Amino acid sequence: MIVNNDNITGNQLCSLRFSAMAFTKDWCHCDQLSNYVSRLVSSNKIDSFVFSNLFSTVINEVLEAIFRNNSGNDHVEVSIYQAGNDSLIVSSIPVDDVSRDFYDRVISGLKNGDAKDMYRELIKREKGFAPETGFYELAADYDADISLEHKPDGKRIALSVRVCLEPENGAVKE
Amino acid sequence: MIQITSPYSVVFDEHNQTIVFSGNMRPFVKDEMTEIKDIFEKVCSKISGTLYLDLKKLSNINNLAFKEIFDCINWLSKKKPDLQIKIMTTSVVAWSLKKFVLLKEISPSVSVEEYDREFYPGQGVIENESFIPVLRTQTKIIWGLEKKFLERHGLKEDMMIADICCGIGDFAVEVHKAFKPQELIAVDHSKPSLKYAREVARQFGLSGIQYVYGDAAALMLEDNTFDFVTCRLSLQIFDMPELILKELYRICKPGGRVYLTNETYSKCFGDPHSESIKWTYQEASRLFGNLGMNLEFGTKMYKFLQECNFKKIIIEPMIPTNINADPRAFADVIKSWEDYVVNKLAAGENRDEDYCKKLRAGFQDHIRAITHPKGFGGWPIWVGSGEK
Repeated sequence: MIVNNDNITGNQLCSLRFSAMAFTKDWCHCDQLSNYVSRLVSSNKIDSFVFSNLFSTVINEVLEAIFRNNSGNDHVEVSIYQAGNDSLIVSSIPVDDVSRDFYDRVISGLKNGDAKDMYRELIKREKGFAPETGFYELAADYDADISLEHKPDGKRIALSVRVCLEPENGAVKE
Repeated sequence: MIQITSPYSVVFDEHNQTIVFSGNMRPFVKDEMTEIKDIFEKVCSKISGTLYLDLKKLSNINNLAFKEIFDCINWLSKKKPDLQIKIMTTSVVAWSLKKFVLLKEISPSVSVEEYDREFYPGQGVIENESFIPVLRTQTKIIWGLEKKFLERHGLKEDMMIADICCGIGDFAVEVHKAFKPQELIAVDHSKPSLKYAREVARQFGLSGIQYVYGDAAALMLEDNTFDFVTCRLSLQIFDMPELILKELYRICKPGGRVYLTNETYSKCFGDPHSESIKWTYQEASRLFGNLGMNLEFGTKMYKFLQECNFKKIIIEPMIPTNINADPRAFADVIKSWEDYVVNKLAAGENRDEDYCKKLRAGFQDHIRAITHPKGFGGWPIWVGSGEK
């Protein structure tokens, strides 16, 4: 299916819709969904194993962030698109003030600072793990373009992660 | 799922001073990783010199786990500033090096390397594009014989098959056509060979073979998955064949079989000019040996299969000759050996002109023997298989 709207032009590969409450009942859901979806979207890739492993790394960071910042009982929707050589993960996530603030901070941090420095700082800091670490890694190591859109009712956001894991010649990016 | 998705394990191998990480490491909280802290504490009290962190089979890690490992290494390097810490990643896991390279910033005593780049001395040679013609001509004469051997060693239709060290993938294509597998995964560590294999598959409209970039000594494939695992003319080119055989055993289903072929290259024979032929192949085998390869591995398979706990082992010779194979194609194979051994290996060792001339003469005598109406020549290959 070719989806063509203001923000997305690409081939929709799959879409998942699940209850946030059910999802956050078990941490393993992040890993299981990441691996399952990765295999699904990699089946037509030149080296499906290598692509799937990389894609799993990327989508897992998104799912872990959704898990750690869950704020309600509504549903989560994650859609994956192929846009040229890019993979695009668009997540529609229910938010409250706290979780909205988390995503806003991530985007503002990425806009105003150097992702590599921030990622390095978060890994090296003594304070413990910061849930935004994964987004900085995606921007620093995978050149991911991460953006956020607030829905008018203020109750949902659309988080987009665009990343190129397979350049034109078909070899998986290293 | 064929790809490794099992939960992670962390094991300290005291004998080799190595912490081996494998599987999927994606914990929710760091308390789930107390065993890793315990291991680092044990390491701190027990070892000196160099500590190795083997991450070759770590298929995934999240940032919480990565930070925890970073903190453990940081702690250890402060406690034991003289300890060298070597981190071994793999090019097969595409995220691995770019993630773990950050650990180098902890201290100059921490190093991070892509282990499979330097796995065995002749790797660069074998994975080079120039080796493709050698592989292509070899399969031409072997397949006609090998199909029957495969049947005798247990290959049937509708099986789950893995072809490890698949090279340019031509064997996988033949197997796919002849045995219609349920699934066929062909793994190799040479990007030029895989590119060639995929291009051939595309040109011939073949689907159903997954060509995968991988390291035979650390396969990213689940345990107990395949009915039939093949690894042809490959254990002989690694200086640690037991590591690969262990992996072949691991991915094979109980009751399934691992199938190997290896040469006794120095025993290539021909008549007339048997002495010249004999000398050349003994020298050629020695030249390959200088690259860390053992082209006499064929007769060692029985021992290795036994030591790896295989049952119902079968070993038998498969000898392409000018009678059971096309002499012209066989001559092409020998010509490709001649070019490779004389122009690359002997030249690489700066051997003098007389030596190269004598070396070349043996190959040419072999070609004469197999193309002469009354001549005879052959190439001894050993086929071995064992049941898991």
